[in-house]
Amino acid sequence: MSGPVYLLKAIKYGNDIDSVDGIARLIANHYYKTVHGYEDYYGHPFNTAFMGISNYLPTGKVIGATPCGRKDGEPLSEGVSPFAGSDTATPLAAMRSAAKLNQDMHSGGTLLNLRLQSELVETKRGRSNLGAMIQAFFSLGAFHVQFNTLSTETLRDAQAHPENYRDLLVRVAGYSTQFVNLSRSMQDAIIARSVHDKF
Amino acid sequence: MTTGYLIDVQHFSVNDGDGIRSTIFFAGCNMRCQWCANPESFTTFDKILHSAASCIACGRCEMVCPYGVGIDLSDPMERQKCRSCGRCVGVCPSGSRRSAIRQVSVEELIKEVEKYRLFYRYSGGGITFSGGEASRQLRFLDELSEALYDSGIDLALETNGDFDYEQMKPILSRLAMCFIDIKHLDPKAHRRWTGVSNDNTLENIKRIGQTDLPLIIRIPLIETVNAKDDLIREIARWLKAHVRRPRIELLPYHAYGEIKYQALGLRPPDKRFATPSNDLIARLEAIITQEGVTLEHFK
Repeated sequence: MSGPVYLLKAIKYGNDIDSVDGIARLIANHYYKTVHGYEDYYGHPFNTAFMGISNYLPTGKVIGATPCGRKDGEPLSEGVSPFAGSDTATPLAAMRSAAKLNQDMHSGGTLLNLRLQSELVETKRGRSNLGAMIQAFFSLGAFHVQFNTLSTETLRDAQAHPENYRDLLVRVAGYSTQFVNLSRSMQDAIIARSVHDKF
Repeated sequence: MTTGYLIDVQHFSVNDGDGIRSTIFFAGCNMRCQWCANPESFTTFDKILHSAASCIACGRCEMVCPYGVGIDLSDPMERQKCRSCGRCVGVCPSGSRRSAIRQVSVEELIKEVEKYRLFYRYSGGGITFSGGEASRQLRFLDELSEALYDSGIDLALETNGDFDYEQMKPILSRLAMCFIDIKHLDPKAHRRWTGVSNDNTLENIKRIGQTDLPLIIRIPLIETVNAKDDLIREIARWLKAHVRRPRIELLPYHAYGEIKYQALGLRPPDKRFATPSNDLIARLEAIITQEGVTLEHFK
């Protein structure tokens, strides 16, 4: 390839590319080694976890623009999920990337969030494929994944007409809640998580 | 090292056979179906795609172009000057310029799909060869399918059926499923819409229909071309008469390919091509079932 590589175009974690996924793994290992060296009041080493729940929003607010192309104040990535919008390959690739971290080291939990278009799980075939995906992911050494299966149109419409969607539940992180009760920026963050579509 | 020309490899395909699959889209086709959703697959020569929607008009493509092509490659005047050298693709920061075709070796492709083996295994999936027309790159398809078959991966083929049966036999013997299109039953109408007669396709359907290879006939269902009661009934009857286990899947036309025509600077498909209404689809499905043909849905 000729010419400079631009930040937004640079390869990113979450697309099953070893060179960048390896960096994520290095950082995760470093985090574990450092934190594990400290002991709590009872003399036990501290655990590590990749499950910020919804903390990726407030944490992002106080962190300036980052070299990956994320703007000042925007949400960080959550858990071991790829940064919103950077996992452009497939959910399978995102799973393979996440499984490359030493998942069993982080006994506090590793959180992978994926959104699937609702059509993918509308049929029996689709649900059976979803089951197979989860089995394959776990056999790669991972132990947590959760899905949102809503269409982007539905969510946008819910933003515009919250009165019609009082009962619309979304899984935010470790919990599910009413979409309409979330802050606008939280709603935007959920919509921005890559929608994995079929072709 | 045998290489082939592809337009794309789509992992996590769930509509082209059983389970979770990777669909390999071959470049090059002998038909020119006027509604084609993959017009970049017409030939194996590279073409540069230009997506106006994501272009930020920075002008880097214009600076490196040795042929003086401007930013808007969708403009027929600019498109005329393009020699598809691909220099702009390397410098485009937004991914608006993209090569439509990539050349890949059997070994490289196997390495790429090997990553997904677990997902195939757990879901009962595998690999589907599609296109363009996969049978046009016979030697590549032969070597690729042999290597994949030997490593125990489930294989399917989606084809227009216009191939030399004797030459394709070894490849067909490795398949777990075969999809062949019937776009029209009348050879004249078929030539009108696709540029090619369907004699050979129908002959190959008869031959495969007498073997044990599971065969699904796909009909791209298009308003003004073939979404008609009589024609669908005729196809179902013909199939029942010539194939041991007749199975049909209807694929209603969609206009998603139109954006690709724009990106290639080509004239988009006829506006009269339309997606049939749900009522019409239901009626045609009922006709197929009445004729004793199994209706399939890979959804």
